[in-house]
Amino acid sequence: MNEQIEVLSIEKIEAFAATLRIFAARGLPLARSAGSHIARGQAFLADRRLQCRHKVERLEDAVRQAKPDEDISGIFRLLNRAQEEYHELLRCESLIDQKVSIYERAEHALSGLLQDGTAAASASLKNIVTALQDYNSIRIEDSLGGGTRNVSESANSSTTSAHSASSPSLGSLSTFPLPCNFAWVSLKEIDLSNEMAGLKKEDDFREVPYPYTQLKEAALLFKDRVLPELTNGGQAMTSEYWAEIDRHSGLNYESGVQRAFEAFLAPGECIKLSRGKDQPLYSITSGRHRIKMALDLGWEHVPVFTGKRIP
Amino acid sequence: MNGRSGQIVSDIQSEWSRLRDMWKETRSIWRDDVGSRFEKEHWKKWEDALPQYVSSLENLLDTLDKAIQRTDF
Repeated sequence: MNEQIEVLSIEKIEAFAATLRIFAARGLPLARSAGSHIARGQAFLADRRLQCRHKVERLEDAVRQAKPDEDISGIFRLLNRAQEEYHELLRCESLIDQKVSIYERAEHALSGLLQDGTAAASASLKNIVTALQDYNSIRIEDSLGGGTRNVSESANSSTTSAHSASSPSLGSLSTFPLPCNFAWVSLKEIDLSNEMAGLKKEDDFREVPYPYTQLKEAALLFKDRVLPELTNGGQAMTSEYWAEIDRHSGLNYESGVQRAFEAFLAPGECIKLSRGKDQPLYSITSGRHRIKMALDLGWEHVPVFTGKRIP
Repeated sequence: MNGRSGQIVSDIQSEWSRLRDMWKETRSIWRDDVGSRFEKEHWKKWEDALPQYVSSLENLLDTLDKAIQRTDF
C-alpha cells in the first residue's frame, strides 16, 4: 500500500464485511417477500375489479331485459353505483401501476447490489484486510531469524533522524528471546499520548476480558515465569507447554501461566501495532490495555506480533 | 399500512439500519484514503439504493393497502 494507512481495527473492517454479507443474505428474501406481497395485493384488486365488471354487466343485462312498463330505477341506482366502483378500482390500479414502476426500478437496483454489489464489496474488503494484515507489522528480515532481534533497530533505520536520535536503550525484558514472529518494541516507539487517553484508571479495564488486577498478575507471571523459560527455546515457545505446566500445578486457566503466555504471545490475542510509512510512531491495533499495564509495571518494551502468520 | 406491509418495511429498515450503523462505526476507525475510496466505489451505491428502495416500497405498500380498503364496497 502506497497510501497513508489510518485503521484502528482490522477486526472492525472484517466485522463490517460479515455484516454486509448477512445483509445481502437476508435482504434478498426480504425483497422477494415484498415482491410477493405486492403481487398478491395487485391480484386481489384485479380480482375485485373483475367481479365488479361482472356485476356491471349483469345489471346492464337486467336493464336491457326489463319490460317497457317495468320500474327499473332501483336497477339503475345499483348500476350507477357499480360503475362508480368499477372506475374507482381502475383509478386505484392505475395509481398502483405508476408506483409499481418506480418500485421496480428501485428493486432492480437493489437486487443488483445485493448480488453483484455484495460480491464486489466483499472482494474489495477481503483484499484490503489482507493488505492491512500484511502491513500491520513490524517486519523483520527473514535472514535475521525472527523474534530474537529488537525491532527498534529496523524501525529506526527507516524513520526520521530525529526519531533515531531517541533510539531506546534496551530494557532488561528485551534481552529475552521471543517465539518466531514476535519482536520486542520499545514503548517509546508507540504513540502512547493518543492511545492511552482512555485508560487512566483501573475501572477503564472493565470491558476487557480480565480486570486490572488479573491482568497485572498475568503480566507479572509472564515476566517472572514465562520469559526466563523462553531462553530454553523449544516447547516453552508454545501455548501447549504452558498448559501442561498448569495441569501439573493444578492451576486453572484464569490463574495459570498459559494465560500469561497467551496474553502476550498467542497470535490471536497478542499485541499488534501498525504504522503508516511516514509515521514515526506505531498505533496500537490491539493490546491497548496490556501496553498500559506494561507502562504501569515500568517495562520499557513489549512483545509484538510481527505480522507473519504462524503455522 | 396494514400489519404485513408494515412488518415487511420494518424488517428491511431494521436490516438496513444495522448495516448503516456498522459502516459508520467502521468508518470512524478507518479514516484513510482506502476507506474513502471504498466508500465512494462501494458504500455510496448502498446509500443511494437502499433509501430509494425503502421509500418506493413504503409508498407502494401504503397506496396498495389504502386502495384495498377504499374499494371494499
